[in-house]
Amino acid sequence: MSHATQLELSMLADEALPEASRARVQSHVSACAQCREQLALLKQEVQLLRHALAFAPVSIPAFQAPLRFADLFKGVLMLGGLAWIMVFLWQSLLSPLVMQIAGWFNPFHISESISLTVDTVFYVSEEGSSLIETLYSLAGFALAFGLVLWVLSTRPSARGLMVICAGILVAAGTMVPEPAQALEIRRVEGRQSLTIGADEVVEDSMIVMAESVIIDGRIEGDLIAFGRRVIVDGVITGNLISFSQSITVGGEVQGSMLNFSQYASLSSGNVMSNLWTFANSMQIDRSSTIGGNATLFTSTSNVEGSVGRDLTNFSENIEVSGSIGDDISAWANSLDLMNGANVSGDVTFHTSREEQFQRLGDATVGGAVDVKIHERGMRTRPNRYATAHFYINQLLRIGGAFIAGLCLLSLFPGLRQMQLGGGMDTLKSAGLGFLALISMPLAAGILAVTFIGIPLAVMTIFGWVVLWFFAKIMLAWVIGNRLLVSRQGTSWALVLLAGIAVVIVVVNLPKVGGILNFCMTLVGAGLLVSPLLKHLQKE
Amino acid sequence: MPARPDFNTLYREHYSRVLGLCRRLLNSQSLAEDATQEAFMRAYNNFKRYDPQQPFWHWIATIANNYCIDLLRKRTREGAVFAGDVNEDGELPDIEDSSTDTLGQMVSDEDSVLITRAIEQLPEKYRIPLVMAYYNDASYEEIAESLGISVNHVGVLLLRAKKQLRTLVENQSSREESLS
Repeated sequence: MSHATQLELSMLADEALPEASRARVQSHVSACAQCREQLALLKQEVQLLRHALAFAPVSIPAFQAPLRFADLFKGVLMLGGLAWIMVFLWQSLLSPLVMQIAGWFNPFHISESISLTVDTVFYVSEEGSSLIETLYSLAGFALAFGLVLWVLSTRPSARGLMVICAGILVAAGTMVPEPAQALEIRRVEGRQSLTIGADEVVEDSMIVMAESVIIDGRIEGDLIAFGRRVIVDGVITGNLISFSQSITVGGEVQGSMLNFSQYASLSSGNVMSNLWTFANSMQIDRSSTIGGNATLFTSTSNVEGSVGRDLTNFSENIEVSGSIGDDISAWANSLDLMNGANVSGDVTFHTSREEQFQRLGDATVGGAVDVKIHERGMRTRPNRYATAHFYINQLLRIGGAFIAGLCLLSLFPGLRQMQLGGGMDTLKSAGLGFLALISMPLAAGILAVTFIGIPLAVMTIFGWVVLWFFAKIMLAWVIGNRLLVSRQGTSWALVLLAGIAVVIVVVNLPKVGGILNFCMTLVGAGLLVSPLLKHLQKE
Repeated sequence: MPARPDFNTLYREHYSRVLGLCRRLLNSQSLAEDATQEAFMRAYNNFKRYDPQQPFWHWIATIANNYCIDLLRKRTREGAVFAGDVNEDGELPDIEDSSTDTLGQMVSDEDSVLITRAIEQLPEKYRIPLVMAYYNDASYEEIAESLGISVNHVGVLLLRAKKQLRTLVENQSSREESLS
């Protein structure tokens, strides 16, 4: 019988010989010493091969889960929401306040700055010691609390440290001083009223809760009142804070007044410092005075009395017939300066239509009158999506971005590996992008202070411009990659083009396009910056 | 039904081995790293299709294999990596007897680096089935299916791979001897 072939022996050694020939070859091998020896050598060879092929463990890079659209959507939604809230807060609340505060620091309004300084000095000298002590202890408390949180978050097992921190916390708690003034709390249950009689003097600050709160006497401190009806005809030497359905002040508040009510009125009342009102309607009658600023968040305001300084008003309708010591700033549907109104400073009126501003003949304004029209999307703008110009422009944009992207990804092929993980990753990237886009011009500004730094500053600004330019292209690449991930053999240029098309469509979406554009720029900038940071970290 | 394992754990457990496979198949560390990432990315995207009752290695190795073979096919212009070992009539040519020793007779266990180096020099059509058989522990049938060839063809390729390895190792060791 002839010997088994090499192929048969090799396949037998690998235990891969087909059923049909296996028995024949095996019976031959068991009878033939030469073939048996050959088979043994082949088996040994297989073992050697396995040994040679074995691979040593290596350090494992972190797995970057690919971007999921849901995560990207969530990330962009969160960012968009945040941006929207910030824009809303800024436009509706912060910007007027900041402008007001910034006004104090305006060197051209020296008188205001001086009066602010004097106010501050008086306030600190009066309330100073207790205020500073409170601030110190609050700072200590915050520090201790922060420390505990830090320990809890970083060293969960460090019980010793936690005990020390708890000690600090207790110590800080004991540092909180007794209130400078004693506090009296009075509460009346049921449908009864609480009255401080005309001849009664309360030597402390007070917190009162009752169906009706009637103050005819004198309170040497602050009053915080909760009730359906609050009537102050007496004197409060401190501040008045009230939460009530209606509040009427006919007496004197020597500090400031802050109230949250449905109806608020000052009738022959006198608030020596500032007035803050959140109410449905606010009525300040002819014989009432406010020493400082009046800030009103109301549906309707009627100011017949006098305001010592600025009147700031966020209302539906405002009527002013009293005297205003300084400016009027109003955000409202209508502002009427009635007969008898006397405004020493400027009148700035933010509204949607100019005809909502009315000034009767007798009303006088010392400064300028500025009516700012803010259109609320009422304007009939030509529909930009209906013009051929728009589509040609967008095509040009896609083309430009595509060429720029091709150059970028050919020059730096490493960037083609970029991936975005989940929503957190998107947020992180956006944060990083935000930091980079904010910090680079700042850094350039600081660098440019010195002569030697100027070229560096120029380079930084150049880098910054490049970052703005390429940020969305980078994100487009990631999106395109994700879109075409399952399609084999797609050329990377096509991937880029698909991504750019998506990005261009998204930034042109009506209403949300602007915010999405901003968010995508941040995420893209973060994507571009992160490999640079990783590189620096490695070094 | 067993609980679906955590992808990250599987990734950590199998990364080195998959990298090794890609490294052996592609003969390039950087290409292998990219291929490993790509293989895990594909696995992640299709993780729903993975049957937890089957070994994960088997699944991920198939993905990595297919990806690497695709890459290699793209590299050879005509894409026919495994052509040339079958006659026109489909018959496998007989392999003439060779007097060359087996690897076991040439090198000891400690000299496996000689074999590793020789494997790197093997042409793709031999290296791929060799790696699949002795690194992946894939059966002849699985290799045949992956490469689109017959089981016998796999046997021939492996036999030739080993023969060429022996020659390469012999040349290397004689070169080293002459140098020393």
